[in-house]
Amino acid sequence: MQLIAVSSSYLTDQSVIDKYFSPKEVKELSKKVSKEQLDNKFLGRIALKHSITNSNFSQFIINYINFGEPVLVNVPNMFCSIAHSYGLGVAVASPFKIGVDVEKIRKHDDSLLKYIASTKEISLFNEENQDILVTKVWVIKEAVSKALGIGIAYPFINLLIEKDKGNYTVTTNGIKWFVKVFQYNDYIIGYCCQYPDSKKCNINIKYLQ
Amino acid sequence: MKLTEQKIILILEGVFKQKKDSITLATPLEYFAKDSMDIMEFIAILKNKHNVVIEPTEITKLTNVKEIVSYVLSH
Repeated sequence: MQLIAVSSSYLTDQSVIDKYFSPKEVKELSKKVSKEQLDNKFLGRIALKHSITNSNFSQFIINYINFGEPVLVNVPNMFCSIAHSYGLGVAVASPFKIGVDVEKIRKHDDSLLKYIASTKEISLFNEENQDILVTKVWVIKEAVSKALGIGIAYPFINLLIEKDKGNYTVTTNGIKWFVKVFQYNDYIIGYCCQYPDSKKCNINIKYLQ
Repeated sequence: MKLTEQKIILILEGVFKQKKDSITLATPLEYFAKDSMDIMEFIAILKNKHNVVIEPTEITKLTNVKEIVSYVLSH
């Protein structure tokens, strides 16, 4: 499996769009969004298409269900997850449930960390930079919420982060999710699956820029 | 501090990194609220600093600043 990260510098010209998207898909994506929002959508979708194929990208159709959960229409029995943030899109497709998230590291009000995490959860992180800390906490919880297909509808304070043999975990409805989180340039990227075993959840990371 | 229309717009401009006076009542939400983390930060500030509780799912149904202001002031 591959987690693909695509930065905005990858969108060099129209030929890139033509390579990945049908005119119909571009038309659908372009409705009521700014250029910046459209580019972010392109980045996430390019990442997902790259995670499942190396050719004929425009033939793969992506739809959204429930709280924005992506599905690959013509690839049955495949779970997928897409995220984008300020010029970086990430995605992964997998035969089992999986979730990804990315956030650009930026200044946040202290209220956010208090709103999404307890003091006990915060103590699990050896991170002095408060903006990196809140971004890691957010990315872990958002990746799990995406794997669950619930978006931000479920209170993040109820997605409890713990540690199990060095891995961050989030347990909800009796299911334990194992989360990997790491920094890439000015971004925090995270992904989660239900397997602690790296052989089962063996994800290579590829950057397109 | 008591919330007013002006104060709510100031919070929005701060959270969503918008220039001062760039947001008006007519500004569409999609113009600046591009990231769920920023939306949650706005909700967190309202709760922690102004004791106003808003459900995340409710705010995503709103379409412009006027609706946000009305919603926040009524809670």
